[in-house]
Amino acid sequence: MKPIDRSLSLAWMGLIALTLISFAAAETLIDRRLALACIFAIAALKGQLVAASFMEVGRALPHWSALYRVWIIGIAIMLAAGNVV
Amino acid sequence: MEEPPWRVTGNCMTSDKRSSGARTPPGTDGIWTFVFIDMIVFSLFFAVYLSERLRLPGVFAASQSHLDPKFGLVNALILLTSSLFVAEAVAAARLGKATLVRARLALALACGAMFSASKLTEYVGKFAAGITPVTNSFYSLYFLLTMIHFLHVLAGMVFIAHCLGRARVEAGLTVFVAKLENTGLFWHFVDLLWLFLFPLLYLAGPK
Repeated sequence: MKPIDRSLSLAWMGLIALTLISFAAAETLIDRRLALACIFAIAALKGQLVAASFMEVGRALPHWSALYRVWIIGIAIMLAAGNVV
Repeated sequence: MEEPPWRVTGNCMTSDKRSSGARTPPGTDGIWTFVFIDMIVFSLFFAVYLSERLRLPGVFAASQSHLDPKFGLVNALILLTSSLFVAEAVAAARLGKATLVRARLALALACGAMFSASKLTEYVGKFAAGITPVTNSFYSLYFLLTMIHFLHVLAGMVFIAHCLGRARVEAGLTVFVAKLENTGLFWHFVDLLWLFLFPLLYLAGPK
């Protein structure tokens, strides 16, 4: 199957790799705090990648672009903090 | 008066800004608003989950250890792949390639069906083990979050199926591109939600 847009395929490969890394980190890291920091940092990174590559937030009106990017970071921080304590 | 670039019209692709390479915002303003409201709603669900987890850490730890993270992983991989297909369908629609649009949307729909089958298998396993939404606070929130997400998946599949059905006759129209962009934005948001539900429910528990 021929890719329609190479940048979309590259983003997808990055997302798959990050998903597998976060799964491996959760399964193997002994330090729970480190594991939690890793998996939610990766979730934030994946969120930014989905927003930028698939949702094209960079092309959206500036307020939507800012709100979506901030939401992704904010939720990742909230979930990490809420699970660490 | 000149129309804003994100305004949808029924004009053919060949005569508008999209085909001339101009960078117009994807989708309509309405879908960006709708998805953002959904984001706020899920923020509240996440806050409730975290507050309950702080109140009952033992119950949450014990219950989370009974979830199989492989289900969450497979679902994440399926949704990410479906997002690629939908994004490719949007790219193909902007080029006016109806056959490619239909092929990618059909693949995205197949991914949605695979996600549904995986989710239903997981639910059946839970119910067979006597685990229901009233078992404890963790499972109430687990079923609430995943079922609302699942309803989003089903709604997204309906939108994708509609676009698939209309692609043959509307593929070259700006209005179809906007419709598909809106569908894509909703579907990517469904994917985005799972990016957080997966680590929260399946990976953050004790090992």
